[in-house]
Amino acid sequence: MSTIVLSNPLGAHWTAGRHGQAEGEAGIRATHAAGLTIVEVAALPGQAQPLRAALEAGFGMTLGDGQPAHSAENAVCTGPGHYLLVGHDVQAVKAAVGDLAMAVDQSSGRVRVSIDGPAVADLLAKACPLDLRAWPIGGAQASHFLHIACAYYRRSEHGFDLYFGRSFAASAAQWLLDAGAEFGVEIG
Amino acid sequence: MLIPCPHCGLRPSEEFTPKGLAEAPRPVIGGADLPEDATWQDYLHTRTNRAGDTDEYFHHALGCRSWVVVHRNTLTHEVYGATMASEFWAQKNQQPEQETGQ
Ligand SMILES: [Zn+2]
Repeated sequence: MSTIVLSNPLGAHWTAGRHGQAEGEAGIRATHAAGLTIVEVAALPGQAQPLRAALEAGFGMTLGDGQPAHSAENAVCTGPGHYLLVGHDVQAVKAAVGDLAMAVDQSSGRVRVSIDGPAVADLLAKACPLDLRAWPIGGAQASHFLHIACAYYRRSEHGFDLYFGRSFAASAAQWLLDAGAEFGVEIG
Repeated sequence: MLIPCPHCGLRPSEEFTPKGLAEAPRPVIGGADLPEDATWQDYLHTRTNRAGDTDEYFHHALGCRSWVVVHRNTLTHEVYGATMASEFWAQKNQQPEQETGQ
């Protein structure tokens, strides 16, 4: 069996340590989850509700109808009956959804960057059209980061997970470093 | 312009791709069911370009990827609401338009 070595999808600029403004606390803390298992699940017509029930029963998570509040940290809703299932075994997901949904391993197709810190709202204001005040913690939104399609999950007041298509991730990362430079970005 | 996506809530129109009036289902193509030339010509090229209340397809391309029908006024730019395209045609008691992709 051959071994495939994946290069850093965030590009050469994405290196651990402090970037941009160097004084005081970093306004943005960012981490990239390498090697994460991500399975994209899409319910077949009329099966969105049974799919949610199957995921809740199979993985002990609580989901809803796809409105912003109805996601989980490891089940990010990206559309009606569409979820990114994060950190679950691919075969376990396929077994849980059975013939209710299509399940495709996107572990090498999606990249997750998590951001946190006091300047996150100011950074997102430059890239994302969504109203953070109307966005509950625990809510997912499918939108865009600049012109790049992005699935967001809100972990906390200032904590967000951003899911990009892999081939867009380097562009998003470089922009994030440039736009975050005025606040200081600490890559962990 | 802000569009109230039934799935995502209020979103800027920049997230959507407009795809024309939701007036008539796409003619059936394939097998023995080739549409009459005139029917196909109409479907492809004839637009009423109505000034006033319209139902229009929009694809939430930079969002939940749903096809929605937006109800709006092309004179005042007022947006009244939006319906999932599948529900729009179900409400009209017609077959949904065949999905054509983008
Ligand atoms: Zn939407």
